[in-house]
Amino acid sequence: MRLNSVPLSAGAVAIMALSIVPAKPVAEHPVRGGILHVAQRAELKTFNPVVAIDAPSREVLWRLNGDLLTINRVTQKVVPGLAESWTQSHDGKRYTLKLRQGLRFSDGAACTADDVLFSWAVYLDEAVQSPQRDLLLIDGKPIQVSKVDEHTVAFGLPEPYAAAERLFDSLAILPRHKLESAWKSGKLREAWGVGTPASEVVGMGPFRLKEYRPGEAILLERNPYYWQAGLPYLDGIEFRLLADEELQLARFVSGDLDILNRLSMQSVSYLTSKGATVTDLGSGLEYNVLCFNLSPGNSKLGSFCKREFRAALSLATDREAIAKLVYQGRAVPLWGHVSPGNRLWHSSRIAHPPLSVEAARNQLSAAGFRPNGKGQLIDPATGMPIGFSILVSSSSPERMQMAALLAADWAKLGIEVTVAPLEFRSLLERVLKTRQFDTVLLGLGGGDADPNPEMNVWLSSGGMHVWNPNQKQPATDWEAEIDSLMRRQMVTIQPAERRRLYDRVQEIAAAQVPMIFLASPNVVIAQRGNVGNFRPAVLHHFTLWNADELYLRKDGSQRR
Amino acid sequence: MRAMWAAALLLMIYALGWRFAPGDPLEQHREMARAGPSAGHWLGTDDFGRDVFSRFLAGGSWSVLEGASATALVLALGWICGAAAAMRRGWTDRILSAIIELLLTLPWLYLLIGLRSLLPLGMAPRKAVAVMLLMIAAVSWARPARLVRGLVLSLKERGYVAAARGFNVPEWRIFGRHILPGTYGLLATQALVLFPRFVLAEVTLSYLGLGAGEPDPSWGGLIFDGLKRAYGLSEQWWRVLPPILMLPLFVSCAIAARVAARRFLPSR
Repeated sequence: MRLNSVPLSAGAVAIMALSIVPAKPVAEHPVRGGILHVAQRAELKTFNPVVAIDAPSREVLWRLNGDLLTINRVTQKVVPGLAESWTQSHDGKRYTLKLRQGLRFSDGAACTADDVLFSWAVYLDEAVQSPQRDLLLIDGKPIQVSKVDEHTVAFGLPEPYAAAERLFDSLAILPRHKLESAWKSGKLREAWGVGTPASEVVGMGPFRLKEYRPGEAILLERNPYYWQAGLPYLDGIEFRLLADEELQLARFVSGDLDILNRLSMQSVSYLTSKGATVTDLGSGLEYNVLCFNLSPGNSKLGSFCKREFRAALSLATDREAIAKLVYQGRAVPLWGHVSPGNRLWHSSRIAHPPLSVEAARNQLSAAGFRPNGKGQLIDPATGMPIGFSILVSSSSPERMQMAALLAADWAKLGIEVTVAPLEFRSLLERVLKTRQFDTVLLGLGGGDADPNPEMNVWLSSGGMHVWNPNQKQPATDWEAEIDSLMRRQMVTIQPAERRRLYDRVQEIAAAQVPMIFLASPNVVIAQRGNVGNFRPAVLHHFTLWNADELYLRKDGSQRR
Repeated sequence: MRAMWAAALLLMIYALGWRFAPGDPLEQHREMARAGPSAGHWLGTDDFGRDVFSRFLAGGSWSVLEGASATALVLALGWICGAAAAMRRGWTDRILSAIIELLLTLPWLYLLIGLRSLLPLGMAPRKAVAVMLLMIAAVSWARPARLVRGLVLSLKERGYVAAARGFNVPEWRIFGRHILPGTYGLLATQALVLFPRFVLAEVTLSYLGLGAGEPDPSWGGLIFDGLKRAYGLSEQWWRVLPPILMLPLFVSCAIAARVAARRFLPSR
């Protein structure tokens, strides 16, 4: 589960190209050669995939490393990677993966089952503190790995885990011959820092490190030992360090960059005015929500705990205005937490009640909330006018605007709403620790399409169960039902049954309104039209996920 | 002198601008979002269809009034502390001077960000900004205090003060009749230094997203919101340009007034 300080997302419904960009590869012969130039927003922190947590490092490392199974970012389904096939036991607790023959690291050394075992041991080592470790624990117990033969490994799960094959995506297989000594001496976290010679950084990805020029660029070159014969087509990729978005736009327009990843809406407007090719991939996986603080002790709990109150606010929320005014039409209004961009899990059965202030007033009135002579909505329990604040990150102009729209919408119900912008870390402190807030506007989601990474949001015991986290026992019946459904879907192997369970979770969340779902912004990218096999997707990493297949057209517009 | 009058006139316009606003600066007309200039909306409308001209006038009033309030507070504090340190000397002087040294080294921007997170969330953004500006004022009195202290120390050594002491005139009377008037010029020029600085402080806060914030308008908010949304001046320049032009004009007037004040105001 990720919580976004700035819009980041994934997932897609439709391809809406402003200028015509083919969404599917056209029938043409890929050309070998050339360097692809892309922008990098911040300096790399490390070349070590075990400890990298920052987006800039991971963006580069994904190109240098290979995973056993990988998620096709367009279909959102798992496909073979370094493992050519996999089987699952009937009870869903054992996965057997068969590695491809003749795998080699980028320095020419063979990659075998021993490297997989070594990688697993490193990721699970508590002393290493890898951010991937939590993903490899199910109910606190680690996924065990054993060697069947030189090219076969078996993974034993402590419990059945639906879609466990997705866990292998983006989990880099490490070269034992390069990193074992550092691990044994307890120095693996320090290994492969940014000062490491390029030849020492070894991986299974389509590219390998050629040169790192701090403050300027990272140059990758073709990995001659890449497991897919004939790939990659590109000679290399250069990540140019351009921290400022306006600078990136200027360099893109001038032809110094081939691709821009994940544009803000104002950048889209600028680029289209310059005649650049911009592709709108449709709704991502990120969803913006207004979350009520339903924790005991909140002074506004009297109103907030009433479902009718929350539902009335949802009814009076102009989601279309948010999509149109805040995201300039490049967003999808939401009534549930799974955006249409999540093709595998979006439920079309969620009701979309139209905006109606009148219906909201009636609902409030039925629940005992009536206005006084001044038009202020009165809390029947206290006899006082209702008012609350919306906590919002000061670094997100989009969410600041959303908060202003919500405040204006709910003023029509007689509720005085104050927008409280806070620096993001202070906001997190209040939301996740001190719980000193009334409501908060957040961007959630944006990771994988599968529901399992969001367990900590939906389980009442979860730390990211934002409206009332870390509950010992579910505070309400509907939260208890969600707990049960989420736990069942996690261990249900049959896709149809899983789907049914998770649909029910979506229905309960939409009906009980612990969060008001607002809008999911589109993923918009730009390319110069000279990149072949370009298949951007709404899942991370939006544009370079198939970097091995990309090529530069010789007859297209050329960089200077 | 002309600059002083020009500055005074501008200040009046800014301070009372909200009274001349043709529309409600907060009222949204969502169907008219991002409209260009027209007879009904001289500077067009913003992302929510609010009248930009009304927001510009109302925002100017707010920025000027908060700047004036903070300036008055700083000068009052600075003058009292500086004069007290110089007149009393001894422990009072040493303690106040130590506090002044301390305050001059404080990183006020980080202080503000920290302070903002401590304020009650229910506090309206405009009130929160006012509190933060008062906090800036509370740590900004050190420089005028140091200047006042130095001036008072100098004035105390003047011949006419020594003569008054020779005639056994009480200290409070010497201070009121001979020393206090000598600080007026310094206070006036300091006011003209600090006033635009506090107006710019609001712009800085807005840049950090900690300014008046939605839905209230302010110059800083208008500039940075406009720049972010309109991507520089390439689009909707009518929306961004007025506050951008007004701000340096305002600061230039303050500088010209300060130069004029140095010539015009009496100094001993």
